[in-house]
Amino acid sequence: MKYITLVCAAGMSTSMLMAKMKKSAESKGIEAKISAMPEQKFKSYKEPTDVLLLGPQVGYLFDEMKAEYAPKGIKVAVIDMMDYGMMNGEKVLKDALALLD
Amino acid sequence: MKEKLTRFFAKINPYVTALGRNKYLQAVSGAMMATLPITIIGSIAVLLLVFPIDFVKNGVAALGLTGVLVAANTFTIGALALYVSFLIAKNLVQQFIEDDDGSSAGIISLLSFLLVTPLGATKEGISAIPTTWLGASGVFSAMIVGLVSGRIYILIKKKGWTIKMPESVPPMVMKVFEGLIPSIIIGVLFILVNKVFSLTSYGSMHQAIYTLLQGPLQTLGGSLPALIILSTVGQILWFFGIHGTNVTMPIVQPIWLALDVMNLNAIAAGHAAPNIIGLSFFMTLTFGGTALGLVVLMIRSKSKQYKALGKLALVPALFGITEPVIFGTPLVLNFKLAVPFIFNNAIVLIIAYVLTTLNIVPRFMGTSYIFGLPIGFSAAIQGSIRIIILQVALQVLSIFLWMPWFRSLEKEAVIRESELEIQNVNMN
Repeated sequence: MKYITLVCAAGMSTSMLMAKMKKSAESKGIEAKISAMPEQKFKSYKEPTDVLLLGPQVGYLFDEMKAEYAPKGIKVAVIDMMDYGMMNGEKVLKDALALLD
Repeated sequence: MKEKLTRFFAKINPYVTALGRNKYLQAVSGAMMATLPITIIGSIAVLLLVFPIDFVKNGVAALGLTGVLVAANTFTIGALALYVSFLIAKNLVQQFIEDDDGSSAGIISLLSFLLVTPLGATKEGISAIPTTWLGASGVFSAMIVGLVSGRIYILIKKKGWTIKMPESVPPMVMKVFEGLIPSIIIGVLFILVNKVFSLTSYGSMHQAIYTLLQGPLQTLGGSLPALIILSTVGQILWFFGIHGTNVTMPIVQPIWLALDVMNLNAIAAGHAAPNIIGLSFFMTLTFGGTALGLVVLMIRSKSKQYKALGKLALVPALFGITEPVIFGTPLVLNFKLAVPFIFNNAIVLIIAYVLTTLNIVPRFMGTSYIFGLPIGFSAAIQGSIRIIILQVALQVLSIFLWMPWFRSLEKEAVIRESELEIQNVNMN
């Protein structure tokens, strides 16, 4: 089971992307648990995370998030702008899983 | 030009990032966000009391709900400062200390706020707290109390100035003693502060802060130039792909929220709303960063790429969520659409401001803006059909503001797409 967490500002736009990623994972038979939340909530998020994806509009948090979470074994990345805009769940999922290989 | 801007941006990026990550600003914004349920209840109570449709307004009175609604307003919006003082200290401590949930600090902060609040008595001699400083007028004071008491709490905890209990003491009891020293230190401090202010001409810390800080900031922050500057700066940040609203909101939210609350209070008391500008004014009219107009243009576009994006971005945009169109066009770092993207907000705000000054559109009630409500509905809670029409009309107007820029972009896209088609045909 792969755990992917998406964060942005309010958790609204990432939740739309999350729905698309879930659909893509289902259709490909990939076992992935995908969650979306506002960036402030991630600190107290108790469930596991393998990949932390940042919405591009909070991309300025990347350095900080990487410094804090990479040592804990979490892969941190900023979602590609176009993929995010087009809500390309399939591509974002693919890129996220690629980070785990 | 592009290189110069990108380099300039790379230079200011660390400052913007620092601003966006500043723990004090984050504590303030987190606390203000947490007051939303409270202000929504109060706003709806006031809305029901003054509903523009007589049927509803009379129904409320007939059902005997007036008393409870007034009480609801008094204890929510009318007591906002109390909640704010608790929440700010709580949020600040959560930012600085790992496993402290901030509630002890919040309680100490609330205590401190009350310690500097003048106590009065009713005509019959019953001791009572005047509501003067518990509402909007006390918000800044509450913020300062929250930040100061929170910061001292953090200092005390980090220095380890707590009563150390032996290991065998149950954790619950240890926690009580842990909170004791900060409570005493901070409590005594604010008792002294209260004494000092009571000796000045202001009479109380709240009055001093209101006169010296809140009043002037409200005048400054509630002015049209401030509104324009902040909305433009926010849009410029969005242009660089940063959540501009997130960065600018912590700075203005307390001020604009207080202006909204002033409006709500006035309306609840039967007077006219004093302020044109407020948080609800800004949020309602800059709905989705005024990008809905662009999405509408895209749906009917001759370009396949933009048509597809438009269809995909339409539903979220109707709800005020415009990230798809912002990142999908993309509007980020797209100089061809930079002018409307950066200035549309300011344009619609100026138009709305003028219309309100001319009394063509009434002032907003100040009801808390509910993010995620679709267009029209999000304006409906402000107490007037004209405001609903205003919001919709401005978004429609934005179609024309985007049009000239989008058309040229579209033309290029159509040419590109047809060239690609020709290539594909030739290859087959």
